Amino acid sequence: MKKSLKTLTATFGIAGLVILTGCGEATDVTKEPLDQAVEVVEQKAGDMMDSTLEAGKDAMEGTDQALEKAMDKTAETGDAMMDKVTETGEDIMDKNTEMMKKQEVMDGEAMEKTDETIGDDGTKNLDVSYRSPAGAETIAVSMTITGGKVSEIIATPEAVESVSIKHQAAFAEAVSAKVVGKSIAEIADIDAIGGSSLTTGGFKAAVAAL
Amino acid sequence: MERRDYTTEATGTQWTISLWSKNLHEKDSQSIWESCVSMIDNFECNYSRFRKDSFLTSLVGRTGKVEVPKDMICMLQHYRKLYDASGELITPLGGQMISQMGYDASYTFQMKAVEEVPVFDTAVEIIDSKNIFLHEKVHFDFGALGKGYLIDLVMQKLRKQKDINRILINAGGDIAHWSESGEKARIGLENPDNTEEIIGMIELGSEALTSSATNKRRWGKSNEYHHIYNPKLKKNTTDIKASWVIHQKAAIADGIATSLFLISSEDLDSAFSFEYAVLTMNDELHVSGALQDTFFTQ
Repeated sequence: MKKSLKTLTATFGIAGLVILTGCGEATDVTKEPLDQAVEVVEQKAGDMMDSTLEAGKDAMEGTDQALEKAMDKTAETGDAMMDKVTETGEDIMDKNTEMMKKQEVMDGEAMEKTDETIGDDGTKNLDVSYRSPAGAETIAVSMTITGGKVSEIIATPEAVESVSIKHQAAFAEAVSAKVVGKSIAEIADIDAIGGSSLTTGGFKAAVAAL
Repeated sequence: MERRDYTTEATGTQWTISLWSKNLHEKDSQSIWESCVSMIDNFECNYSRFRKDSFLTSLVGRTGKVEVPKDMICMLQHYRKLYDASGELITPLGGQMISQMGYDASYTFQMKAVEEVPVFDTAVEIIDSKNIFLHEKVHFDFGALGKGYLIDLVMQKLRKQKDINRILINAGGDIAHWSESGEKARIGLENPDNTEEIIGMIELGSEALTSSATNKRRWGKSNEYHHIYNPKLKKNTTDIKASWVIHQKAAIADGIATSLFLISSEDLDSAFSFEYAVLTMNDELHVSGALQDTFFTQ
């Protein structure tokens, strides 16, 4: 992580960092290492940390929600960053690419992918996927340059591996119609009912006794 | 063909076994049923974490090489596969955690401090078909697939009997069916929001259908806790209301039905071949191909 921060802080043009503590790997991470992670970021990149966002920390089950919230906040932060950028986008872009290439050589396979695309409206997108030393998560840093200025920087933890997001993908073929119940008495010739296990008297009595 | 139904309460739920036969004498049928009951009792005696005298309870606190019944090795192997496929979320080592969450042997339903679940690889080693090595103290809990495994055992036993043409085992909603002549069993899928209703019908061949839902085994001040939990988050699952799974083996179907509360069906696709349906807390329904027309919809 320190190595990732070194790369990020050394990358010219990145004006701020956003920590998304609860996203992506939430199922694997408990509070303590998260706090440690925030501490490390503050130590190593404190001067860039005017926008700490601890999204999803208290809502680990809903990573998708946390991600959505984080994205909203990141967009806000991106707006705030615009004022700080003084150099022209073209310069930043060139320096960034150069810097990242150097860093890539230094850090071996730290940088997964550097991809530059130019849109019809002159918008430039620079996508950098970064594989952390843990190996599991990937952070995509996307920068949009419009009219020679950086208009948006979005660091997106790719939470595709999280349980919730995966469920959404897997559920693409959801039945759209609403399920309706029919009284068991109405249906003829049922051999058995498949459902959650009936509870025994002991369980019910114990719950009732509380 | 005559159908006879037998019922008993065991493994924390109600078991009903239906036997179809052309010429099996009632007395023989009864004695076959009784041997099933003793098989179920024996299994519960070994693997119930609720019983102080169970073999499983006797393993608590032990370390080193331990000789265990063959069935325990088989269940551990099933778990091993699910453990890997589920990113370590389906574990046979969650006994202490579920107890600490209140679902303990005395049904105290009091939430206590919840400790980490041991890592399978470092805690338990399967040496051979009779022995395991416990590298640390563990609390086994075979709740995710134990009942399914027992259904398979009973089915195997019944299929060895002569003169039985069709078998339906219903262990409180987890079902296995076999028919010599390829008949199908008509199984209603319980509405988890209203147990007087069903929300679909399945024609079950010679296979197993298991289900998990969190509507019945609940506790806490406002019924906020239930028996399916994420061992890494140390919390109950929240996204899924109910799941149904069809597989040849009830043990696997049972394990997958629990898994679907924690991971997506895609994670299990490469490891197992199964059909499923999942109902989310938002009442969205997700079903695999063969079950597309199973549910009643508006």
